[in-house]
This record gives sequence, C-alpha cells and structure tokens, in this order.
Amino acid sequence: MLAVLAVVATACGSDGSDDQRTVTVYTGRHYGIEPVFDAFTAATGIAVRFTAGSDPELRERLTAEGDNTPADLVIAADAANIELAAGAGLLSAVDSESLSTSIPAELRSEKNEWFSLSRRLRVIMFSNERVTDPPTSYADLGDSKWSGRLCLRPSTHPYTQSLVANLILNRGADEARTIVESWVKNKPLYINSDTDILKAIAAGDCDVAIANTYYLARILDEDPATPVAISWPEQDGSGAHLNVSAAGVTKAAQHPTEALELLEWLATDGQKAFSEANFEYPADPSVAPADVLVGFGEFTADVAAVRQLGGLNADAVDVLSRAGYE
Amino acid sequence: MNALSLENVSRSMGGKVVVDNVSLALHDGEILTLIGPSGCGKSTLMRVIAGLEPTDAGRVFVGDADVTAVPTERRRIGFVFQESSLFGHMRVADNIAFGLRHLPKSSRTTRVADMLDLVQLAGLERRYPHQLSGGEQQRVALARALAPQPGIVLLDEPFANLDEVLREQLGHDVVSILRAASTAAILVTHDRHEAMTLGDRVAVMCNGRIEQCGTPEVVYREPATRFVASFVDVASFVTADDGTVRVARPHEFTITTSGPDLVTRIEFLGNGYRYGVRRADGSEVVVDGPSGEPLQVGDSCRVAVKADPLPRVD
Amino acid sequence: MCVVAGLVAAPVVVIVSSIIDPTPSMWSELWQTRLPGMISDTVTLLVTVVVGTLVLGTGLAWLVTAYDFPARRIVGWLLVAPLAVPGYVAGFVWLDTLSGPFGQRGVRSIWICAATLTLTLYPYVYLFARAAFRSQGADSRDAARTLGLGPVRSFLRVSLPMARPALAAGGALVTMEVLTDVGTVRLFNVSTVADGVLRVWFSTGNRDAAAELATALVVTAVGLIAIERGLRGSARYNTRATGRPMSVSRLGLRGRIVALVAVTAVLAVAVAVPIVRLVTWSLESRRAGTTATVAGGLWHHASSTLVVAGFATVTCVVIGIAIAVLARRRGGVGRIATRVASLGYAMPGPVVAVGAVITLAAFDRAGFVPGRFLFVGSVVGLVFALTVRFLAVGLQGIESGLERVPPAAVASARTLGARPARVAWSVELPAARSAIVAATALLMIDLMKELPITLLLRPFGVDTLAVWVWQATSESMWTQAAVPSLAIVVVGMCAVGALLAALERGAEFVS
Repeated sequence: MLAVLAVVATACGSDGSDDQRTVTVYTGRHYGIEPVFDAFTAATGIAVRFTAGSDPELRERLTAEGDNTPADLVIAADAANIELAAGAGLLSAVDSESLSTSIPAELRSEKNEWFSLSRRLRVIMFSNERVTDPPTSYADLGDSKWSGRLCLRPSTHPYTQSLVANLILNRGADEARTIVESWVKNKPLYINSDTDILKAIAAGDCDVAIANTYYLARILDEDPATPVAISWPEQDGSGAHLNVSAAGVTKAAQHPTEALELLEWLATDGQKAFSEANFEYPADPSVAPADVLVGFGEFTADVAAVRQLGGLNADAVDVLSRAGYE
Repeated sequence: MNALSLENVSRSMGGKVVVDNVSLALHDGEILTLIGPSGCGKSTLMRVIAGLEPTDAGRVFVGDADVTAVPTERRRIGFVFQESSLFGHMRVADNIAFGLRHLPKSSRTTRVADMLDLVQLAGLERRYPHQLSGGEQQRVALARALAPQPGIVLLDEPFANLDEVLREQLGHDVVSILRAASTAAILVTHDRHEAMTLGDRVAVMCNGRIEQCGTPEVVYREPATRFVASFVDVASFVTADDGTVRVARPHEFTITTSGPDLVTRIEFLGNGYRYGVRRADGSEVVVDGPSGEPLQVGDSCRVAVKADPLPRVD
Repeated sequence: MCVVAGLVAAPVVVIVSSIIDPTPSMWSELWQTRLPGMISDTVTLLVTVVVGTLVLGTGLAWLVTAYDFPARRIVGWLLVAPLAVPGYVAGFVWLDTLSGPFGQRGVRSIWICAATLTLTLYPYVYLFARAAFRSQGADSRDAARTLGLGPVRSFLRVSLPMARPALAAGGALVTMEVLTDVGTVRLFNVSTVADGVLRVWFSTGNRDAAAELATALVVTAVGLIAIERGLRGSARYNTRATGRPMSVSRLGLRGRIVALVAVTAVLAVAVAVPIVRLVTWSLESRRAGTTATVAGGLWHHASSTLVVAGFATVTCVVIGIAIAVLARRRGGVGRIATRVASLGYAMPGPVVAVGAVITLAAFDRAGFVPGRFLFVGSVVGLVFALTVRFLAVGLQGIESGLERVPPAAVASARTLGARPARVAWSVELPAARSAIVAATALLMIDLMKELPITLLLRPFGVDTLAVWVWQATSESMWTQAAVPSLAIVVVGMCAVGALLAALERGAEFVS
C-alpha cells in the first residue's frame, strides 16, 4: 500500500516538465500573492511553485528539511521573522547590483541575506468621530484617559512583538516595559485581528488602537466613509514603527539563479504589483505607492530599526509577558 | 489406540490450580460425559484439550499423535460451545462449510447437505443464524463441528441455555447423531440426569481432579468417593457394623412408624414420598417411602437398610 | 504490529524526547507569568465543556431513545450534524454573530468559547450514549420500575450508570479535543496550555521548551483517561442485548411540545445558525466578486480535500484494523502497542505537524527511497502525519467493534482449522463491520476538518478547503472564508449520514 502511495506521490510531487524553469517559494505573506507570481511568470517564463503558511512553521519546516529542501526563496511577512531565518542559517548571501540599488541599505540585511520588498507601519488608529486629541506617541496610549477605550493585538502576533522590539531598541528594556505596563493598566480589548480592531473602532467598542497601515487601506478601499484615521506616532522623535515584508534565497536552493531572478524582479519591475496587492508601501522609495496610501500623508519612519528587530525579538516577548500583556 | 488420551495434564490460572493432574482415555466411538459442580474445571479441561488454552504440564494425544504443542487450528478437534458460536453474518450452509476449505466445491456442497440431514435441518441452508431457534442453532453448530470429520468432538454444556423439555430431546438426538457419525465425543454437563443417561462412561470431576471415571452403573453403584456418591444422586451415609462407611440410596431404606428415628422433612415425589430422617445416632438420611399413608414431620419412625451389602466409600 | 505502532508514534517520541534535556529556566519564567493562568483557563474550559457535552449529549440521547414525539427519527439523525462543523468555523461564526449583543469585549470570553466547543463536540457523547441506551434493552429499566422507581429516578439510578463506559468514551474524546484545540480558543482570547505550547514555540523559537510543555499536556490527557478507567474498577457493564428493545414512552401534549422545543433549540443553535450565516456570507462574497483569494476555486479545493482525507482515512482504517486485531491476540503487549499508537491524538495538531516534519526529514536524509523522492512535502508524508494524529479515532471504533465479537465464534473458527489471518478476515472483521464503517465515517469527518498538519505538510498544488479557510481567516476575512467553510460542512454532513446509516445497520448484527 505504501509502495503504491510512494509511486503516486513521486508522480505528483515531481517538478513537472524539466524543460520549463521553475522556482519554489515558501511564503508567509500569502494575501494576493498569486497574481504577482503570475505576472513574473508572464514576464520571464519561469514558473513559480509556492507554499503559503505561517512564518514560524515554515521556518521549522525549512530547518527540518535541511539540504533536502525544495524551497529556493523565502518570503516573510515580518522583519523579525526573516532575520530569525537568517540567524538560523537558512538563507544565503546574495550579491546583486539591482538589489543594492533598488532597496535602501537599512532595509536589507548587513550580510545581504535578505531584502525588504514592501513597507508597512504600525501606527495609532483612532475614531475621528469621537476623538479630538489623538495620542501622538506609543507611550501616550498608556495615559489613563484611554482606560477602557483601547484595542490591541495580542502578544502572540509577531507584529506586536516587533513593535515592542522597536521600543526596546530606542528606549531600553526597562522603559519599554513601563510603557507596556501602562497599556495593560488601561484594560485593553485584545483582538487577534487588525481588521476586527478597526471595525471595533468604527463600531464604537474602542476609540484608539494600534494597527498596520495596510489594514486601514483595505477597509477604506471598500468603504471610504469608514470613520477611522491615522495618528502618526513619534514624529518628533525616532519615527513611526516600520516593518517590512522581506525575502531571501535559501542556502540549499536547487534553483538559485531563478530564485535570484525572482527576487530581483520583485524588487524592481514587480515592486508595484507586490506592494499594491496588499496596500503596502514599496521598499524602493522611487516607486510611487497606491493612491489611498498617498492619502495618508507624509510621515517619518524608524528605518534604522528594521534590521535589529529580529535580534531583539526574544527580549520583546519577555517584556510582554512580564508586563502582563495577554 | 484411543481417540484421545490425556496424561497428567495440569493447568493453573491466576495462581489457582484449575486442572490438577488429569489423566483420561477416550475410546474410539465412545461418548464420555464429564460432570462436576460449577468451577470444578470442566470447561478449562475442554479448552486445554482443544488447544484453546495451553497445558502447564502433561501431554495430550489425539489418536497416537502428541498434539500438546500443536495449535488449535491443526488439532482437528470439533467443539460445540454453550453459547451460540455461529457466524452471524453467514448463512447456515456457509457456517457448516467453514471448515471444509480443503475440499473441492462439489464435495463441500454434498457434505453440507449430508450434515444438515444428519441434524435433521435439511432445507435451512439459506437461513441466517438469527432466524433460527436456540435448539436449531445448536444443531447447526454440531453439524458445523462434525462436517470436517474430526477425530473427536467436545461439547461444553451445549444444552444449558435451552428449556428442559427441549434439552432432553436434543440430548438424545445429539448422541444418536454422534453415533451415526461414529465420532468419539466428550460431553460436559452439570446435569446429573443427562450425564447418567447419555454417556457410555461418566467422569466425575471435582476441584480439578477426576474423582472417578466409569460406566454409569459402576459410578452409581460403586462410587469411589463420598463426593461422587453424593453427586450422582441423593446419598445417605451409614456406618456399617464393621465400622466402614457405606452409601445407601433413598430407595434402599425401609421406613416404618414408631421407632427411635425422627422425620424432619417430607417431599411429595409423585409416586411416593421422600423423607428426611434424623437417626438415633444423630446422622441424617434420606428415605423414600410408599404413597400410602404418609408420615408427618415430627413423627417418630424406624429406618432400616433393605439390602446388603451396601457399597463402601472412603 | 510493534513496528507499525512504533512508526506511528515516532513523531510523538521525537517531541517527547526533548524532555530528556529539560529547560528549567523556561518553566520558572512561564510559572511566573502565564502558566498559572493557562492552567486555570484550561481546567475551566475542560470542565465546562466536558460537563456541558455530557449533559447535553446524554440528555438528548435519552430523549430520543426513551420517548416518542413527532419527527423523532429525523431529529435523532440531525442531532449528530454538528460534527460536520469545524470548531474554528463555529468559532468565527459565533464571534461575529454575538459581537452584536455582547459587544466586542464581552464576546471574547471563556464561557462563550466553552459554549461553542460544547455545541460542536456534544455529538460524540450523544452517539455513544444513544448506542448504550439502545443496547440496554427493556429489562433493566422495567426491573427498576417494578422496584418503585419512577421514570426520572430509574433513569438516574439505573440507565445512566449502566451507560457509564459509553459516556466515558465520549467524554474521553471530548477531553482530547478540548485539550488539543488551538483554532477555536485563539478566536476568543482564551489561552490554554495547548495555545501556550505554540506561544512558547513560535515566540521564543525554543522548540525544546515547547515540546516539554506539550509532553506535560500529553501526560495529563493520558493520565485523565487512565484515572477514569481505574475508577471504573471491575464492574462489568456489558449486558447482552436481550433482543427486546426498550419500550418507548408516549408523551402527553405538553411533553411533546417541550421535547420539540428543546431539540429545535439545540439544532437551531448548533446547526442552523452557522449554516445560515455561512450561506449569507457566501452569497455576499459572490456578489462582491471576492470569493477566492486563492487559486483553483471550489472544485480544486474540494477534490484535494477528498483525496487527502480519503487516502488518510483508508490508511488509518487499514493500520487500525491490523493493530487492533493483532493486539487482541497479544494481551499486555497488544494493549501497550495500541496506546502507543494512539498518542498522537493527545497532542495539538501543530505539534504533531512539526514532530512529523522532523521525523520525515530524518527519513529523507537517511535516503531510504532512491531518486528525487522526498517524504516531506509528499502525499505519503502528509498521510503519515495525519495517521499519527488520528489513528486513535479509528482504533477506538474498531476495537469496540471487535470486542463485541462473541469469543465462542472466534474459538469455533480456530477449531475448524482457520489460521489467525482467516479468523480475522472471515469472522472477526465481518462481525465488527458496522463499527468499522462507523469509524471510517468518523475519521473522514475529522480528516476533512483538519488544518495545522495539512497546512504544514501539504504537497504543492494540494490545497484543501481547510487551508482555504485558514488563508481567509488569518486575514480576518470571514466572508471569504464562508464558501470553503460551507463546503466542508456540506461534505461533512454526507459523511455524517454515512456514519448514521452504518450505526443503524449495526443494531441488526448483534447475534
């Protein structure tokens, strides 16, 4: 019985025709990714096979597979996650002219193991119907006037962890902890979905929250009258917390050339498609973002922090749990 | 050569000795009834013979072949169980044909038909077990066991779940079938009447040991032990003049009015009365009396032994 | 038998083996922060759901077995339907539906989570209880009545205690499901130990620490089951069916109304509401043209689901039969092998997934199969991991079926010359046939709903309905999750129908 299955599986699991060039991708960023890959295939003739999943599980799979992995390229939905993959020795350093020109230095790893493809910011969102003096810094959310009016994403999610990692980087662990504790004291409503958080603001269940820009962009795209607005935090200081979707070529890639081609395409011709699919800002500053994002206005972002978020991830988790953040 | 021989077979379960050094011989074509109180080890002994349980000591021979180490499926010993053991999802014909795989198809069909005739259930080939009565089910079980023409057949209280009238009829039927098939068999029962009437020989078992094995007449009239004596029929024990203990059956006493003995119990038998009597020496005996004018409880009476000499027991 | 059991247990062993090198620092930190809360949440949830399912399942089973009211037979079948609704689907349906009346804060409570789980899990208890009550036959209840016990008391003091093993079996399944659930609890912000395992793992990247916690979970689950078995002692619960079925009491008008109202309420809440909401969302998403954020559409995903679930079900049934039959003959060793092969069920899905990945990757490195074939990412690998997780479900059903085979029939077959293989094939398995069919249907339902293992190990191009649901719900797009969710429920209902048909037929073959 197992022999039969093995034969069937070999037939199904093989690379298809050997004439066509292929590249295999493990991606944690799966929303709207397929049309982007289709565009790449149309442009270059290289077929893309991909598996979508959650970043940490894909990382486990890569680690377990070792040299046998079929993955050529890894895309992660969070800076810390891609850095953790690099730290685990799963990515290989890449030397590429076009990547170095398109992607700013702070948005690529120092060892050139990964490259950001799109940016998003985790900012303060507020109800523009009920709130007239929105907070202007993350620490402001700990002010007691927001007690019972605050929505936050739980600590299990990497976005929250990266935000706290950013705070630790800029202010040190102790102050970061104090800030987080002040949030907790305001009895936040924990919702494990930015979309639901924004809906909660619109519905009146909370007045302020922290969420990613692209979620608001998605909602505004559907319903421009949604009464939620962005308050850019830390504009006088380090800038709003910046996170990225990033990608790197795997160390054991069987099609490294194709992987590099895909990576370069995503960083150049594919920038618009990749970032717009998810309403994110392109990593390449010379590429114009989608209109709805332009409507969010100008802002400063904490670009310098991006590369260090991975290293501080464990500390962030520690701060969150010690502060009693759910 | 015997159909079956057991040599010093023992089996313990859970620390307790259930079959204790049993030796037995079953002659060709013989029907042996095995009788004993509940828990004396009869069923275990049957299972050991069939190979469903292993022996802890001793050897089992079928014919002159030592089968002690042979698994059940190769011993060719038929078995009829107390509870219904038919295969509920197969028709009667398929049940009976189950052990006939080695035969070509046509022979199988003939044999099945012959077996059904033998047990007088011709025509029921296509029925399912749950469509048969209890008696019919056991007859099919017997047919199934006999179909492969085994050396011997073991029947473990096969009629216990049937009503009394049916039981007696079926008992005789089964014995005729076995004789017609010339198959030696051991029939286990706890019913003394069955044991005494159906078997060529009777083996009485108690606490894992065979206390006596012989023809019904011998076992009845010359019981080897007090247990055997009491087990095969109501027994009274009297001390003879020479000091030995003797067995007397209820009909071997006379009872008359007025005497040193006392009536303690009375039971109506239909063709007479049965009295419990306490004798002057304190011993209790059971005595049958005529149906004439009965004595009453509390009457004094005189009990005497009719015939001589009574068999002695140890 | 031992080889197969060992193979199936390998991923679990992989996870558990990390306990050899414990990390006390993780434990002390956990203990100071989340662990006490996680334990108390887990216990609260477990107790509430187990009690809830026992009460609901047993009560409904009794109602349907002992009393007569209109549409009783149909209702009896429909009450099993919630099995087809995955917990994570019921979760987001109720989250959305109740966020209106309860508010966003109020809806995220452990009690609503418990209620959701109770509604999706009570059919396990219901099925077992119903089978038990039916097989009790008329005699025991009649005897109780002659001894002066009215209907309620005869139920409480006779029928109910006699059904105890069945209720325990149902309760054991519910316990496993609750302890290993991660999808539903997360929706409600309930942090159980299973969720904690994933937190430790993915937040700290410390697989060993997470594995230790998972091991603790497994030990607890197994321990609870063992305690219940031990408490049962040597009481014997199997009465042969007397052939006379329980007499059904007629209900007066008031009674009938109450019965119908109760049943309708349960069905409305457990089945109708989710389906209605899913249908509404599906229509909405079709209108908006946003049905699929994934390639392939409904047919592709549905066929992938059926193929994967089908292969895995067949594997579980075949291996389950092999182990169950062999284990019956081997006494102590057999029992151990069965337990070992069932360990995967006590572990949360994601944990089994990673354990399986590690095991399969090790096989790949060892290079057993020549050529370019890799276990990880192959159908074989996926089926292996699913078997590890769900074999217990098959084993349970098959074992209980084999137990009802009359030992005299098996012994007769042996005296008629049948070797062990033929005894199994011609006597034991046919007698256990309807239990095997029931186990197959139950496996099919569970495997179709499965998510974490499929997500991690699926081959390219194999995307099941559950994966589609995940892709939508991980971005909180409930409407987009509706179509695949509905598909899962519909196909699941067909499997439930097959299950019930098998159980009906099972009542016949008690010979």
